[in-house]
Amino acid sequence: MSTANNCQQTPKLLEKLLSADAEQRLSMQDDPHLKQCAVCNKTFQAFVADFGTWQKTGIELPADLAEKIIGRQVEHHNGNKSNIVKGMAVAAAAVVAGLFISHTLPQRPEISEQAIAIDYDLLFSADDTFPVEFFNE
Amino acid sequence: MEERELIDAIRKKDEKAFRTLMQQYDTMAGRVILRITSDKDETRDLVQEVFITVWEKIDNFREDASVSTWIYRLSVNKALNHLRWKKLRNSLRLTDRKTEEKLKSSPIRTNNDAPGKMEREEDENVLSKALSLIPANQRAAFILSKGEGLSNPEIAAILHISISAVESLNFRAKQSLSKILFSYYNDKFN
Repeated sequence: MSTANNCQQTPKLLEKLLSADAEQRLSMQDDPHLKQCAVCNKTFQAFVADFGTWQKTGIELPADLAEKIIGRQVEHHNGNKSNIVKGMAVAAAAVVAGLFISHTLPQRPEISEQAIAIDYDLLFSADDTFPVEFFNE
Repeated sequence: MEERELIDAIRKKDEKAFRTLMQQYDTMAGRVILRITSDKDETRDLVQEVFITVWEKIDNFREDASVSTWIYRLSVNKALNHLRWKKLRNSLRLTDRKTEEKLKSSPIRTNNDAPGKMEREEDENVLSKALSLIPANQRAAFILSKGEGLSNPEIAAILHISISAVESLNFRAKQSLSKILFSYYNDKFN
């Protein structure tokens, strides 16, 4: 058995192990180099154990996952239905309120150039350089 | 019930058929997502998202691929999207922290602030850790190949890439992994 702490063949061994399927990994045990190199042998054993654990990776899922998804869909569907009904009611109420306001509130006076000028304390007659850009700001 | 009948039944919102489909594929979806994300809590949520998509978008499923290919694709996509968001969130947090640090002018940075710190339950397996260090597309190809035992044409169909691209991804994944594992085992045994 080699007592060296390093072996140049270890990276290659790992590449080979990563490409191998279960059967190939098993047959690699008989590799003469593995039998004489302690480093590669340890690496081989550790990799096989780690790979085995990784292959068993799994997760426990909630037993009621399907029920949750189906329930969510039903809820979503019912929610949509009630949203449509709510939306229609709000729209109807808005139309009624609009009609009521337009009939009850006093009509807004028509805005004339004169009125604007008074509002801004500017009179057309007195100032020919009315600041048009002001309204574009 | 055959796969085609199962799909037809789910299209008609048959809950029993959906449960049967989930029983067949939820473990597979969970396994793939967990191997890609290494996060058990998130995996449960992502598996749920996969099957919500199946239940809601079953009409979009074209039967030119098998259901398993579709579910594999959904699982890989959900997992990779999750990782993208996680990376973005971490980088935003890091930016925020940098700004905070500048404002506070504090040179001290605690371990709790380490970027990419996993706050949730995670897989402690060596290969999982090594996989988390390689690019996500290489990881997905390797997981489907070595974890799920799928052929390159099957992986190409799932990832929507060419067979030669799958070969290239797997080749690079193995090279990267062997370097990481070599370094790990070398430290462990020396």
